[in-house]
Amino acid sequence: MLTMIIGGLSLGFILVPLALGVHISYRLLRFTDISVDGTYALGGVVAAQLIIMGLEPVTATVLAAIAGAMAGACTGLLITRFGIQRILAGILIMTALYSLNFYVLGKSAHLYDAEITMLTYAESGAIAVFGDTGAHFLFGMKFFPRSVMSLLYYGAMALLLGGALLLFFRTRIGLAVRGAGSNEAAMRALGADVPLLLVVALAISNGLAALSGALLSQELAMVSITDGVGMIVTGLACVMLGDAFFGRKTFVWRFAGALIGALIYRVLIAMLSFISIFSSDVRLVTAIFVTLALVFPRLLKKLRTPAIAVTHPE
Amino acid sequence: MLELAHITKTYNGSGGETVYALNDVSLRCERGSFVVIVGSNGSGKSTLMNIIAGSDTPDTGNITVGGKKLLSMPEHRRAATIGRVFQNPFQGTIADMTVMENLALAYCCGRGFTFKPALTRQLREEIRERVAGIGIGLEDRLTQSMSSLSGGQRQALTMLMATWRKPRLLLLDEHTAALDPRSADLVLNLTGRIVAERGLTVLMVTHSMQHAVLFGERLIMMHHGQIVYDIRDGEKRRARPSELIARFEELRRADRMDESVAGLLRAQYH
Ligand SMILES: Nc1ncnc2c1ncn2[C@@H]1O[C@H](COP(=O)(O)OP(=O)(O)OP(=O)(O)O)[C@@H](O)[C@H]1O
Ligand SMILES: [Mg+2]
Repeated sequence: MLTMIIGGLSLGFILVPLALGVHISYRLLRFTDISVDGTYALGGVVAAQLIIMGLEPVTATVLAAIAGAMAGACTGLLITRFGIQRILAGILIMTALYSLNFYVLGKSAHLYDAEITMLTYAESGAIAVFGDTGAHFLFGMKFFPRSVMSLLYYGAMALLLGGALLLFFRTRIGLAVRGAGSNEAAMRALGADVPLLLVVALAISNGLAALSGALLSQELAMVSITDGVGMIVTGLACVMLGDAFFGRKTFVWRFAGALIGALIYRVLIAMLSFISIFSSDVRLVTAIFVTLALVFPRLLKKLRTPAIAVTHPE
Repeated sequence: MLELAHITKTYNGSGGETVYALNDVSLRCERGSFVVIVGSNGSGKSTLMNIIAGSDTPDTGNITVGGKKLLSMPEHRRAATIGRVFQNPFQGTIADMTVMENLALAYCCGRGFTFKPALTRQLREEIRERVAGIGIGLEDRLTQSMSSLSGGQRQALTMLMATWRKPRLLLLDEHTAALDPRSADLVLNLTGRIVAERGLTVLMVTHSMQHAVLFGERLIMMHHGQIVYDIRDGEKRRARPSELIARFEELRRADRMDESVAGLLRAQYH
């Protein structure tokens, strides 16, 4: 039980960047940016290749996030420079990245073995704090020091990242990004370079997705070019879980909701695997959940409004 | 101050024919002048506004504001020079941001959207003061979302946002047409006050002949993409709504004559 919660939470913290990134594209820019599927995997493979080449894992992870940001900027440029539909631009980048990721990794999957990754850091941290990496017990419940260290590292990372992003959205440019996502005409009239803001927002959003990809592949000690499949839906699930628990009040609450949503999501998934559902079913469960989350409020609304109003469009 | 030289803008009509939204329009406005623009539907008023603001480009012609050439600048680069209030009260403000955040964005206009903190204590104070200056109690609702305000309240705030830093030119395109009479009065009074206090140069499009005679010291009437009537000062002060309506009728009669003559010609030559 404790292993499950600790494991679920640390994986949850690793997903926080992804959830915040999807929050930016889905909630602030109001579109479903599928390039996240590609950039999540890109983060994994770039970090892997750099680590295989012997680079220090934190640096490799940061560079992986920057690679994701650059790919996200490409999505933004396709939309703003070339007038390609938003959804299609995302699909194009996702598809292109699928091939690109293969070239970056040089193969379709890699199992971390002797390389020094974030996981190695968690292990050495565990030895420093707990003395060894074997099973420990707390009130008779088993836990592994290594996962406790992961939890601490990634918890700190997620909170710092969330704080930094909140600070960003309090700057003039951050405020303008929010404005541009909501009302382009008003922002243009106020002198904002709306296309540039869109590119910046997508760069941040995909950089965050790549960060999650890089971290999760190190935590699980394996990376594959198919890792990104369905990650946009996972991100949406986190965002919607956050809404369900935090409501939709202010900007800060919704932002915090996405962060907490990632934790709830991973703990729920951990519980599902506990009742022995196959890990290949996770995506189906996630997709069903997101569908329900989208359909349910509408159904409720329909039930509440009198039948005559149903004929109204929207 | 504002100088338009031979501005022409054409669109393709539904039947493939060329529609002159603006037909060789030239106009000069002095600094500090308040110009009211009237004209029937489709006479080119909004096209004129859009071309000055940069959301539309003319086929030919030139525009300068204070000697600065405008046409080479994209819309967002003109924003520091040109303040704008739209007809739709929801277009000028950002619905799901707070009143305070909206005004902070207006503060950034012309200063740049940089990495500095947006809402400093000093700016909050200034926002509170200037919103209180509108006089409709919105200073108590600064942390509420814009979407919780009425169209009139939002349009009043848009007026404040568009003029936060004194723009060289203020464009108002039927900015009270979508409001109920009471809100329209409120926004118009506010407009008059802000314009007078800050000595702004204004182009205001309106469909209300009452407002057209009440406001401004110059009146322009547009028809088929041209300026057909341009009065100012004493003549403008003496103008009555009924006279303006009579002028409209005259233009309409002329149109009908043109049509029947065209019809006659068609009948004869086909
Ligand atoms: N995007 C467009 N495509 C085609 N024709 C257009 C377009 N925009 C404007 N027009 C045409 O240009 C002419 C002038 O339009 P404009 O919107 O400037 O008129 P207006 O004076 O603002 O009218 P209103 O009083 O109804 O607002 C009209 O004939 C209109 O049909
Ligand atoms: Mg118009």
